[in-house]
Amino acid sequence: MRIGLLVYFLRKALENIWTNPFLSLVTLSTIAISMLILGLFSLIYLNVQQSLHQMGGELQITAYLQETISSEQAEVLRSKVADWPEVEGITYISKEQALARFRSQLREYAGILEGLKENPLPASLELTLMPQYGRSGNIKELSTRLGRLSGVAEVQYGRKWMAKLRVFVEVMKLVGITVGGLLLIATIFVISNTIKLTFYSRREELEIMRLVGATDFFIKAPFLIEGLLHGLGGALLAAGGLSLLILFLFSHLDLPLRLAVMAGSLPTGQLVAGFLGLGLLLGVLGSMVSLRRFLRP
Amino acid sequence: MIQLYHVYKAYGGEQHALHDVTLTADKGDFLFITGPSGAGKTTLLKLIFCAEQATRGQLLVDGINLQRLKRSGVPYLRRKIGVVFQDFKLLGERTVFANVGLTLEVTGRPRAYIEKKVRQILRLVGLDAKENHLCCRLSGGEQQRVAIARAVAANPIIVLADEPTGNLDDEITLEILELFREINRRGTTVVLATHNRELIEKVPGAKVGILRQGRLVAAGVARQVMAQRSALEISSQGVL
Ligand SMILES: Nc1ncnc2c1ncn2[C@@H]1O[C@H](COP(=O)(O)OP(=O)(O)O)[C@@H](O)[C@H]1O
Ligand SMILES: [Mg+2]
Repeated sequence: MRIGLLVYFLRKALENIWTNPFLSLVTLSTIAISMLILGLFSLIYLNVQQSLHQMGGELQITAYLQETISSEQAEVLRSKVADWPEVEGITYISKEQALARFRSQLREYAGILEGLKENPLPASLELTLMPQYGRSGNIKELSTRLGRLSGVAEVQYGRKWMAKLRVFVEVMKLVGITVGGLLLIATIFVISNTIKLTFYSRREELEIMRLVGATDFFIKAPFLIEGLLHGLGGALLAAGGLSLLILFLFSHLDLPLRLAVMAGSLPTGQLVAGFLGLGLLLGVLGSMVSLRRFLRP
Repeated sequence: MIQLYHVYKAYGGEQHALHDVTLTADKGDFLFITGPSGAGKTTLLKLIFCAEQATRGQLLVDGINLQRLKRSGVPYLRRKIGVVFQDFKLLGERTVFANVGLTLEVTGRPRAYIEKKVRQILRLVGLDAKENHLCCRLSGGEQQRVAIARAVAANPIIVLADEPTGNLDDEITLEILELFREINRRGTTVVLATHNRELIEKVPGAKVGILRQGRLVAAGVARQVMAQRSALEISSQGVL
């Protein structure tokens, strides 16, 4: 397509938007708010999920070994448990490794360990499970079995709140998909409705254009671009709003969520790109919905 | 250029708006379609620029079979045909320039070309001084000129005009007719629907087709057809 023609369509689209600025504003804010809500949902979801992942999830089981076990005996134990079908991976952590890890976790407080005469931490076996054995019934059964092995002093597995958080995350995902889907449908409806109104306010001109030889494409193109601009504009507003929200709200709130919504771990670039893509799609879909109906002879 | 063979048009009901009409206009012809109100003049024009579709029969315009023309082909046919509508169909809140330029805009012509062309056409119809006036502020005769200018702006090979002198006084009627003759002299085929006999008598070399209740009751060169018709009418009056 010629650049001149594209500019012409763009100008027509802007004219359409200007002829009813209030309507355009309403459309823009509807799109922006829908996408903002959607964005918030996915952001929180992504972050909580990521944090869960980082914390190891509940799929990890630790078997602490008795003090009397030598590293050779521990190795025998390790290879035995490694053959169990539920076990994905298993690592032996010696007393020294356990202490070193503890020290690095304490960081600046590591000094409090200096007073220790001997290493109080036990050696352990750390197991990760195959995902299909991740249900709590399996885990409980497996830890009992582990605990009965000679040389194992104590078994610990993923804390209860983690399992709860996981359920919460799944529920949130469901709610997010449902609410998000409804919002997106509503957005398409709002865009198509706006186009419909512009179309009506210009119908005399469009009718004359048809009579003097305008193609359907020529008549449609400015409306498609109008929808597209609304979608993009709304997406930009939403992306901006979300960034502001993250910057000013979450960083000043002292919620556990703050831990999850870590500014550093935000996929911001991807998010903005996703928003713009979604905005474009919504705009085109919205205008196509109305144009399909209105260009019938 | 325009050929109709046994064309019928019915708008849903029993009565045919056009009944077995066979008529030809060649390139460069000036063709009058005349007849009383309701005879089917407007319907005939509408068939030619695809605003309506014939119920039966064949229509050829510039070699294109309209009965087989797809919807997507209609815009390209319309670019060959300039139409002066009975109700003008001008955008009242737009300027003269914008109205005339619309025909060129929809074909994707660049701005510079449109400006040049519109000014040239406005000079032809004598409206170059009113280029920036809103159409709703113009007189009837001026609006008619804008409508004509818009119809010819894209250099159509055919111009259709529906009662273009309907509401105008005698002097302006003559000016408008002269405008169509000028367009015709430049090689464009002109089809002009009118119920005004006097208009036809002003263009003795033109062709004429007379419609009555959808049927073509006479066709031929204006001079002869009109003479026959008046003779016929005198004799029928004599009988009565
Ligand atoms: N859109 C329409 N729907 C139904 N009937 C119509 C329509 N347009 C015209 N007619 C009828 O067709 C006949 C011819 O009308 P028209 O072509 O407008 O005649 P003219 O232009 O010669 O006055 C009339 O009887 C008119 O009532
Ligand atoms: Mg008529």
